[in-house]
Amino acid sequence: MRTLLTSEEWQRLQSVFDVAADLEPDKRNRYLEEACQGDSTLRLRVDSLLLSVQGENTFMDALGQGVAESLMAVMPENGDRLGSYEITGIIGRGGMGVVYRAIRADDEYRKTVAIKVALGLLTPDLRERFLRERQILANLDHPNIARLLDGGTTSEGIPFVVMEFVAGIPIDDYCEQHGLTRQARIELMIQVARAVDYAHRHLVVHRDLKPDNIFVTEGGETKLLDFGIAKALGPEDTALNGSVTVDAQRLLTPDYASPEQVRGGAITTATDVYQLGVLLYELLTGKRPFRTSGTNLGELERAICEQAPPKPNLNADLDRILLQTLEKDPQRRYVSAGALADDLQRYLDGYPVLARTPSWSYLTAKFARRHRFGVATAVTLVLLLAGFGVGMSILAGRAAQQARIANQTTNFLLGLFQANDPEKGRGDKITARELLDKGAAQLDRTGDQDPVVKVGLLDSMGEIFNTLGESDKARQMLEQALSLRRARLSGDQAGLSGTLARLADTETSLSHYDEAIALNQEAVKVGRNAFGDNDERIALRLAQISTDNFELDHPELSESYERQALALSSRLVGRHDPRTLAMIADFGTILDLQGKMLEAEPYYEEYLSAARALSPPNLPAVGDGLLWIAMNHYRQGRFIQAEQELRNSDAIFKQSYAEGHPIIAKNRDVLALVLLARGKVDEALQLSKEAVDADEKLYGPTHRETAFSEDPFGLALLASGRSDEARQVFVADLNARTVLFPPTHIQIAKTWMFLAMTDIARSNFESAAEECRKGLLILDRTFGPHMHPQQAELDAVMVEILTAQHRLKEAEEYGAEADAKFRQSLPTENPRIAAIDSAWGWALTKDGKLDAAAPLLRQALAIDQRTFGDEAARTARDAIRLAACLQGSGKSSEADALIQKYRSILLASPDETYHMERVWLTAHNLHGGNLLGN
Amino acid sequence: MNEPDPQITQLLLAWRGGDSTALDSLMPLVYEQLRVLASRYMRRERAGHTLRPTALVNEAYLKLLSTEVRFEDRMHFFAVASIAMRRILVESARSYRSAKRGSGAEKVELDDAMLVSEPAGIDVLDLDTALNRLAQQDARKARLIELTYFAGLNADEASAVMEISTATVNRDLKLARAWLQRELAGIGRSVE
Repeated sequence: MRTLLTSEEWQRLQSVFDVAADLEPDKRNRYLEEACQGDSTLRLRVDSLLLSVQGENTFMDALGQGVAESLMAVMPENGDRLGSYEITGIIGRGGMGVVYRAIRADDEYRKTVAIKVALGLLTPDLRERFLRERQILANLDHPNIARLLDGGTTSEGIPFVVMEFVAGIPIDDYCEQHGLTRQARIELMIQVARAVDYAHRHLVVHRDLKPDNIFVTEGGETKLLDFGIAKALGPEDTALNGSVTVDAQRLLTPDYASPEQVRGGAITTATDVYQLGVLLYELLTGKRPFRTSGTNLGELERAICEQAPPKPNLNADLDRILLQTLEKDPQRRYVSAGALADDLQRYLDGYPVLARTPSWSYLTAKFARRHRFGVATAVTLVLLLAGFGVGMSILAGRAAQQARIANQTTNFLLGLFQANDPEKGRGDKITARELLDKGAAQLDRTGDQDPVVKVGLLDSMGEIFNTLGESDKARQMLEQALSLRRARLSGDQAGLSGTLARLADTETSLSHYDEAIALNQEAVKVGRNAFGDNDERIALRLAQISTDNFELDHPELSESYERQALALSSRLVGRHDPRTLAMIADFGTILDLQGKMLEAEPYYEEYLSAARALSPPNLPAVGDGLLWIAMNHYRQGRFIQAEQELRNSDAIFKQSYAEGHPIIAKNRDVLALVLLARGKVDEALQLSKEAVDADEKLYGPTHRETAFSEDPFGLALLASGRSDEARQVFVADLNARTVLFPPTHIQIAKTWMFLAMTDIARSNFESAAEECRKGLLILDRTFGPHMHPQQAELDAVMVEILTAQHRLKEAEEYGAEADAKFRQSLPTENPRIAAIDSAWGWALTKDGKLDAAAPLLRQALAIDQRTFGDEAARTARDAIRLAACLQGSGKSSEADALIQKYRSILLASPDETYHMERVWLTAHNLHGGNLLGN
Repeated sequence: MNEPDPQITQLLLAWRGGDSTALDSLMPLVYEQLRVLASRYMRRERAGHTLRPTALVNEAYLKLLSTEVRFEDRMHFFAVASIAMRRILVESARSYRSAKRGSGAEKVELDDAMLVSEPAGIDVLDLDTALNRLAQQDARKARLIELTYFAGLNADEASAVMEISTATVNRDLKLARAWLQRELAGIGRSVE
C-alpha cells in the first residue's frame, strides 16, 4: 500500500502537479525536468498522477471532467466570438447551460439570437445529451417553438446551439399585464398545446412546461423555450424489452410536477398534458391547483400525488377539461396535447366537450395508492410503455428485473457527476463548519441536555457511524447511549432494547461475536419485557444470535437459535413472509453444513417453491433457491441434478445482475465443483479460474468471500494433473483461512485435506499423512470421530495414504471403522461411502485378502458409476482396482472385461492421483498376466 | 421515520443563527430522509433504473426545504447531505455484499432494505476506502470530493461551502481525482 506523504512532500507534489497538468505535453516534459531536478521520486509521483488524469477509465472521465473546469475559465464572455456570432450579454442560466444574447456579426441584419452553451458539459453522456437536444431542436420546425438556427463548438470544445431570440415575457406575466379575458387565455393555451402536440409527434416530451418556459411575444405569439430537459423518445432509449430508460432527473420545478415525476416514474407525453393542465388551472383561476401554506415541500409532493385539486368552479365544461388534465393516472388524462387543444376549442366554440365527468374517487389518494406505477400512453405508434412492477421482494429491497445493465452502469457513473446548475441568486458567503465530527464532539459535551433528547441523538449518531463503517466511533456513541439509558432512562425498555440491538450489530460487524451474542441476548430479554414474547423483533434478534454463533462455528447453538427464530416468525407473520423465508433458508444452511444434508433439503425446497410462487416473479430469489438446493444436492452426491440446477441459476443471475456480480462468481464456483465431480475437468478448470479472478478482483485474495469459496480451482488443477500449481493454490488458501477463521473451522480442515490430496498426487505420502491427520484432528474435535460427512472424505484419503505407505493393517482397520460408522449416518448410495470402500478394498487387495476386497470394490464401483458416470476417472479407477482384485482371484475374464472398458479412460486422465492404478495397468499389459503390483 | 420533519428549515436557520445543537438534530433527519428516498427508489422496479445520489439529494432538498430558503442554507444542506449520501451508498453496498455471503447463510435486515445491484465498474466500497485514505493525506480534498461526488455540487458551490476560492477548488479537485483514480486502480496491489 502506498505510504502517505509528509505535508511538505504533499505540498510540493501539489504545486508541481498543478502546473504540469495544464501544460501541453512537450512543454510539460520540459517543465517537469526542471522542476523535479534531483528528485526522481517526485517525478515518478507526478507522472503517475498525470497518467491517471489522461486515463481512459470511465471513472476518471466522469469524475474528472464534469466538474473540472471552472465556469469562469471556459465560459464565453461579453464580446467573445462564437463562430460568426458575437456575444452581447447573458440572458440567463437554463437547464443545461448558460444562455447568451448574441448578434450575427457578419450579417447586415445583425439579428439578435440566443446562444445556449453547455455548462461544463464535458462528460460524454452529457455532451451526448446536449447534442441530442440540438438534434431535437433541429427537427422541430413550428411557429410556436423557438427555432434552432445553428450550432457549433467553442474553441474549448464545448457545444453550443444558436436559437431564435424570443423577445417576450412568460405567459403568466403576459396574461396578467394585458388583463386577458378567460377566452383569450384559453386561446393562448390552445396555441401552446398544439405546439406541444407537434413536439410529441416528433418524439419529444418537454417535461418542464412552466410559465418561464413559455414566452409570449408582443405580437401575442406563444413560444416554447428550453427543451433543456426534453427527452427524445428515440430507439436508442428503448431497452430490449421495449421499455423506456428513465433517469431520475432533478425536479426543477416542483410546483408543476406531475405525480409520476414526483414519484420518479416514467415521463411520457401524458406528463406534458398534466403540466399544461396545471398552467391552465393557474391562468384561469389565478391559483395553482396544489399549494401548501407551510414551507414544506414534502407536503406539496403528497398533495400532488394524493389530493384532489380544488374544484375550479369556472364552468361545468371547463372544470371537466381541467380535471381531466390533472388526473393522477396518466392513462386517464387526455390522450394527447392535441386532444386537449381540441376540447378547449370545442369549449370556445360552444360545442359539448369530450372530457369525462370525473368521479372524485379517481382523484383521491385511495386510487393513487391502489394503482400501480404503470404508465402507459397509447397515443401514437412511437410512444413507449413503461410497465413497472412494485413487487414484493422476498429479501426486502432487492430489485427484481434489472434491464439494461450496461446503460445503467454508465448512467450511474455519469449521473453522479452531473453538473448542477446553481439556482439564481447567490447570497453572501456562508460560514462553513465541520459537520459530523463536530456534531459527535458536541454530543460529547456534558450539559443540561435532556437525556431523552441526548440518547436519541447518540442512537442516531451511532447508527450513522455504524453504516459509514466507522464501527469504533459507532460503538463509542452507542455505549454512551447505553450507559445513559441505564443511568437515567431505565423506564424505557423498548428504547433500551433498540440500543442494545444496535450495539450488538456494531460488535458483529467488528467480528466480536461473543460480545454481540451477549448484547443480543440482553436485547431479547429486555425486548420481551417491553413488547412481549410475540413480537417479530424478537424473532429477528434470535436469528441474529444464530448468525453470531454460526460465525463462531457453534453449529448446534446456531441451529437451536435459528429454530426458535423460525418457529416464532412462522407463528407471527407466517411461512411466506420474507423474514421467515430467510430464516428457512438459513436453517437449511445450518443443517447442511453440519452434514445433515437430508434434513436440510426440505427447507431449501420450501424456500424454492415459495420463491417460484411469488407474484410478480422475483427471479433473483429463485436463483438463490436453486443455488442453495444445488449445493445441498452436491453434498448428497446428486451431481447431475445439481448441475442442472446450477446452470439454471446461472442463467437467472446473468439475467438479473451485471457481470462481475459476486453471486455470479459464487454460482460459477459451485458449478465448477459439480463439473469436476462429473469429470468435466476442462470446463471446470475454465470456470473456476474465472471465478477466482472475479473474486480476487472484487475482494482481494485475503477476503473471507474468497476464502469461503470451495476452491474448485485448486481441485480442477489437481484433476488436470497440475498438482504443483494446485498445491500453491491450497497453500495460499490455508494461509488466508488461518487468518480469517477460528482454528477449528471446517474450511481449514478441508484445506488440509486438499493439501494431502496434492501430496498424494506427488507421491509425498509422509507429508500427505501429516496433513490429513491435521484435518481429521480438527473435525474430530468439533464433531467427534466419523460423524461429519467431511470426515468421511478425509477418512478415505487417510486410508489411501496408509495403503500407499504399505501400512496395510492400519489401513484396513481404519477403513473398517470408518465404513461402519458412516453407513449409519450417510445415505447408502453416497459417494463418500464409495470412497471409503474403494480405499479399504484396495488396501485389502494389496494385502491379499481378495474375498473381503471384492464386494467392497464392486459396491464402490456401482455407486461411482451411478454418481459420476462411466467416463469419470474415479469410476475407472474403481474398476481397475476391482479388476486387479479379480485377477488375483483367478476371475480373469471378468477382470479383462473391466480392463477393456476402463483402461483408456484411466490412462487418459492427467490426474496424478491415479498413478498407482495406472502403473498396475501398464504392468499388467506388459506381462499380460497376473501381477499385483506394488 | 417516514414523515419529513417540518422543522428542518427552522433547524437550519437556528444552526446558522449559532445554535450548534441544531446541527445534531439536523443530521439524523437528513439522513433519514435520504434513506427513505433511496429506499423508495430501490423498491420500485423501473426499466433502466439507476440510483442517482445527486438526484436523491436534490429531491431530499426539495422535500425538506422551502423554495424560499436562502442560498447559504441550501449549501449547508448539501454539505450535510453529502455525508449522509456517502453513508447510504456505502451502507447499501455493504448490506448487499453481506447478504451474498457464501454457503447461503443470509441475514437481511428488513428495515434497511436497500440492496443495490452494483454496477460493474466503480466500487463504492473501494471508493469509500480510497476516500478515507485521501482524507488522511489531505482532509480538504477528501471533503471536496464528497461534496462534488455525493451531493453533486459544482465548483462554485463547493467553494462557497468550504470558504475557499473556486480556483483552489478546481486545483484541489484535479489532484484529488487523479490521486483517487490511481488509488482505485491500485487497490489490493502495491504500486509504489
